[in-house]
Amino acid sequence: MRSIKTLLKIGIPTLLILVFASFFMYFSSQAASLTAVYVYMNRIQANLSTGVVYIVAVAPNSSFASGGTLKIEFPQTQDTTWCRTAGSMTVTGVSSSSADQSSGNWDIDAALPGTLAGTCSQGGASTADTITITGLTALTAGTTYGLQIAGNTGILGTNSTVGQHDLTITISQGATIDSKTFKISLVSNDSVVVSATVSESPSVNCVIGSNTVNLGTLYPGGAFAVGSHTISTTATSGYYWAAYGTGNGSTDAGLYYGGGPYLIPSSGSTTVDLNPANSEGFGIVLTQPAGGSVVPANFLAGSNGIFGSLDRQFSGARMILYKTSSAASAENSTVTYGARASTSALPGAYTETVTFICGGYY
Amino acid sequence: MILKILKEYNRILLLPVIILCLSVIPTFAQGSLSIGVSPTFKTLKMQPGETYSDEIVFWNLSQEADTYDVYIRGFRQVENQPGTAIILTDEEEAEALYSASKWISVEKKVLTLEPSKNTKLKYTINVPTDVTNGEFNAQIFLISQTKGELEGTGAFANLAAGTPFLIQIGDEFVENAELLRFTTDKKTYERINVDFFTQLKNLGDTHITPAGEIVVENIFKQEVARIPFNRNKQSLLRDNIGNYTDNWSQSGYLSPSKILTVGPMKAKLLVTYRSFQPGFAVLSSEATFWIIPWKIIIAILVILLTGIIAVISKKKLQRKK
Repeated sequence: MRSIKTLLKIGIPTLLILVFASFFMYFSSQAASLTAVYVYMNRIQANLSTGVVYIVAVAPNSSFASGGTLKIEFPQTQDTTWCRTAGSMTVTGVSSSSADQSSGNWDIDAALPGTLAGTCSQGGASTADTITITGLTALTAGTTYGLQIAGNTGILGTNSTVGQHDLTITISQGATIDSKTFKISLVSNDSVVVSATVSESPSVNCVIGSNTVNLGTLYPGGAFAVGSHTISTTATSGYYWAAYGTGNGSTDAGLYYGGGPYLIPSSGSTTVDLNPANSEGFGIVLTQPAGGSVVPANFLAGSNGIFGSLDRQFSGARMILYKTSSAASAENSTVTYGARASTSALPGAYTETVTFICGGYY
Repeated sequence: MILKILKEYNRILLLPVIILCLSVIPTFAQGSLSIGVSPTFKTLKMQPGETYSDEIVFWNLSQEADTYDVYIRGFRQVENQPGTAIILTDEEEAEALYSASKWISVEKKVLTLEPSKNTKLKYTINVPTDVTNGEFNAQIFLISQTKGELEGTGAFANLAAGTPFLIQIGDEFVENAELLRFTTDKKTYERINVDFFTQLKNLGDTHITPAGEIVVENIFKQEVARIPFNRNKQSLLRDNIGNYTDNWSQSGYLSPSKILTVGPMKAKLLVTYRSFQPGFAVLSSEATFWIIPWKIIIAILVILLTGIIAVISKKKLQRKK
């Protein structure tokens, strides 16, 4: 009886100590979820047998002492599809990646510290394909660390099933364990083939810098006024510009005031000289672009007050600029309009519409 | 009395009124116009009753959309410039014998070109069954719609571009041409920058694309240059005259084969234009001109004269001594 009492006296406290001790030991294992994690793969196509590279960003919830391990575990039922060949990995800490978010925890703050070494092991009956990274030094809670894992003797691939797959990333050091399970998605084909054909057909590209030109104020009997815009051309095999005016719609091109009516004509077959006193007329000149383009003499800028004369309608179109070889880069010319009103000009608003025809040679 | 004064000062009063009226401040809605087109021409060989469909692609590289009216008309060359095209007026179109404009239909009469976007214009050519053999032409042509309001004095600029079509009906054509002129732009040149002008007339019933060479020889009949004629392959429409300009320029007075290129020169033009056995119909002509580097000649003469004067002066001085 005494021995039973003694046994109870020793046994019960011992049992209690053991129970409390085990209880204490259980709670000393600090398991938590990772604050943030992402996996950025260079390929997301299903059934790749090699060449997969991972960039992993992890933000532990806990602080870890030096000597920790990072594990990436793939689904248990997909053995040997993720770790195609077991062996060492090339592991590098990275301080940024293309998948970084500008704010929040999905932005790598620092490269995963330590002398990192990685292996890829294939799963078996009760294990899964796993990448294990060792050699981590101390990690700070809330800091997002980045690392890149690429194949070495071990080869990484992807599972053959299109769709979502669970991945578990765990950081552990002693009793401190942070982990998170999340899904990655594989697609049947992650490459887009972009195809285009450059046409053999010749082309020409023509630009007029401004569709309106202000000639300011014309004083009857006063000096001539000018206004200008640019024209620009690129062409695969030569180009030409021709121009014609509208004028009064019946006799000649030129600035026309319908309320008069009165026409400041673009008379003459070649040029209009606006220099003589009380002369009247309208015309255009162009600067010669660099690169071998030709402005016909009567339209070539350079003589003060002398402008090339225009005619009206399609039938009156006159060549103003051309080039018989290709213009790979834009060739620019400034078109200057000149007009002068004589003392007989009626007051009013004068306008002219000049149509510029641009084309490539046939 | 007042009326008399007003009448007397009529001219003085009238001038400011005119100035005032002509000085209306213009309001302009400015914008750029941009049009690109491909292909720049189309040559087709078709038979009576045949149908052909395709598309022309236009684009606009400006920052704003432009709207264009679509014209289909026969065309002619601009100022005898081969390879150019300008649509015919209504009156010309009514009398045009070789216009194929009525054969062509397009899906749109007005085309809006959005910025930085290709716009396709589909067309269909239906050749009538009763058409005669020969070459016909037409152009699908866009002209921008004038934009903006203009008050005051100024000019609007419109932009036009298109694709000319040369449609050959049948299989046999008469290809015939006449050389009207072959000359240089000047008779004497200080530097070698010579423009050769050639004028051809197409007498056949199809377009021709003449090709050839201009061979330049010096006074010793040594070849100093060989210039391709019509290197851009500009075609000449039937019943049309075409002016071709070919340039020969060289920096020094020695040809690439180190032959002196000074003095009287003779240029010989050899042109072929037939698509079948072109060598059986060669057009040829000659032109002469001079290359006189007068600045160099004067400089040499001045140096020689200075030398001679110096020598004579020296001799005179020696004699005096």
